[in-house]
Order: sequence, then C-alpha cells, then structure tokens
Amino acid sequence: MTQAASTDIKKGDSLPTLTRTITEEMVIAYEELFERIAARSDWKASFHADPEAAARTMYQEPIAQGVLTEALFSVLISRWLPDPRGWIEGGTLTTKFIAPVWYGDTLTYHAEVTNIEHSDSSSTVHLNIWAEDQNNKKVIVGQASALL
Amino acid sequence: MSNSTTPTPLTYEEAQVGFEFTPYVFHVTRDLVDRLADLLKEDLPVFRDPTSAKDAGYSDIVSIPVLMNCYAHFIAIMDSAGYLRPGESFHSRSGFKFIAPVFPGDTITSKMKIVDKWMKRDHQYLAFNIESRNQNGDLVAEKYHASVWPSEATVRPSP
Repeated sequence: MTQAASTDIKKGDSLPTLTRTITEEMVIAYEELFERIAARSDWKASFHADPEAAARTMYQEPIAQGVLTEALFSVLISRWLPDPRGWIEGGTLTTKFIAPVWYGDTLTYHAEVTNIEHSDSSSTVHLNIWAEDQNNKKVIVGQASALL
Repeated sequence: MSNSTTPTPLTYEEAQVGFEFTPYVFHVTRDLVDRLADLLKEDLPVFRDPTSAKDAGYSDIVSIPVLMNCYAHFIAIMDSAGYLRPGESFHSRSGFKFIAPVFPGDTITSKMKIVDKWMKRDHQYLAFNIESRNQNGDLVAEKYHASVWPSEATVRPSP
C-alpha cells in the first residue's frame, strides 16, 4: 500500500483498499488475546468462538468480533497516512456495525477523503469509511480522521 | 448499582446511566502489542521495530491504537467491578479518540461509565464511555461503546 504525500491529499480521494478474509483462526486468536487480559481464571471463549454458545444467539452461528473487524480500519488508515503519528496521536474512528461478519467472509475496507481542515498548527483529514463483504454488502460504516 | 467482588449479571433494567465502574488497571506487555500486530498483519515499522520507532521519535515500538480494545476492554472492566455481560449482547457502535502513544510496559488505568440506554426497534441498547490514562496521568485514548443488551440474565463469564 502506498503512503500519501500530505500535499497531494484532496477531497474526493479514495484510499487504496485493504482486503482481508476473516478466518476462524483470526477470531480464535482474538479470543485468546482476551483470555490473556482477563482477570478471571474462568474466562471462557464467547459466542464468537464457541458454536454452542453461538447457537443460543439470534445469529445461531459464530460471527466475528466487531472489535476485530473494526481494527482493520486502523491498518488501512495508518498505512496510507504520510506519517502514522497523525493516527497514533490524533486519530478518531467511529464505526457502526450493520451486518454480521461470518467465518470466511472476505472484507474489503474502503475510505474516501471528505474534507481537509486547516488550522494554524495542523491539518486534519476527514474520511468516510466502510467495509464490504465478498457480496459487496456493507457490513461496517463510519467516519475517521487523522492529523496530517 | 454498586461495584462488588461478587459477580452479578448486568441486565438492561439494572443498568443505571451515570454509574461509574471501579477503575481498571492494565499492564501493557510487549507480547500483547506484538500479538495484535501479528493478528492484524500490521507491518508498519513504528509498530514492529524499535529502531524505526526511535527514528520516529518514540522510546519504543508503539501499540496499534486499537489495542485500547484490549487494555480497556469493556467486558474486562465490567468483570473486574463484579458485573457479567449477558451472553447475547452484540457490539453495535464504537467511537475512538487516540490521543497519545501507548508503549509496552505502560500501566493504563481506565475509567468507564454508563452514558446512555435506549430502545429501538425491539432492541435495547447500553452505551459506555471509557477514558484511559497512562502511569503519568496522561490521557491516551477515549472510547464510546454501544451494544445491544438483553434483559434476561443469560450470562456467561466470557468476553
């Protein structure tokens, strides 16, 4: 993925897309991160990784964690920015989950520049963001911003 | 509502807007920072290579900002305050503000409060705000988290 030069960024620009298949292994690996952070010794896999628990939900099968699927926007944006510090120390990210993501879904992450705000000390790029599955169905929508 | 050491299901009806959970302290390890970067296949040098991170002005590699979902995981915060998430709650919306870098070795203290509850199209929602500070008291990140939340106490001690 190519990093943008801050002087070249303009309203209407599309970021290079990021495509990832959300595998069962990724979902389980994320659950294992939670096991590492949990204070409780009896912390168990959630319905995201436990088919029996998932069968009791309205989706009936495991779905990927929202925190996993939204995290890939961070990869999309930090790679594109001229300097990732503008994301690490000034980024914002809002997401709305509008459809479940199943094991094996291939998501393509998109972002488009909607505005660039200039102040005396910095500039901020605003982005419209969304992720689509392999059927071109939007599964996450939102906005993001970063310092340039 | 009150903070407790006895796990109690947090149902929609019991949730009180304005309630503040016990501050949650988390020590960020290099292993966790690396594992998240591996999982996301994030290969930017500032997140992976200490030398590159120093060239960028940092003391060490930086955690990917969305590590906040780990060091300030809302279920872990609830859990440490004695509340269990119902097993059938679903993530609905998120909002992050990344303010300062978080490094391996940092100790992050997160404060979470319930900021809203509402019903829409037969679903009940709870919303939380989380504010995280490092060991120097610097604000490093803020998050808004909303989930669909059930009434019945079908709880499991799980994320």
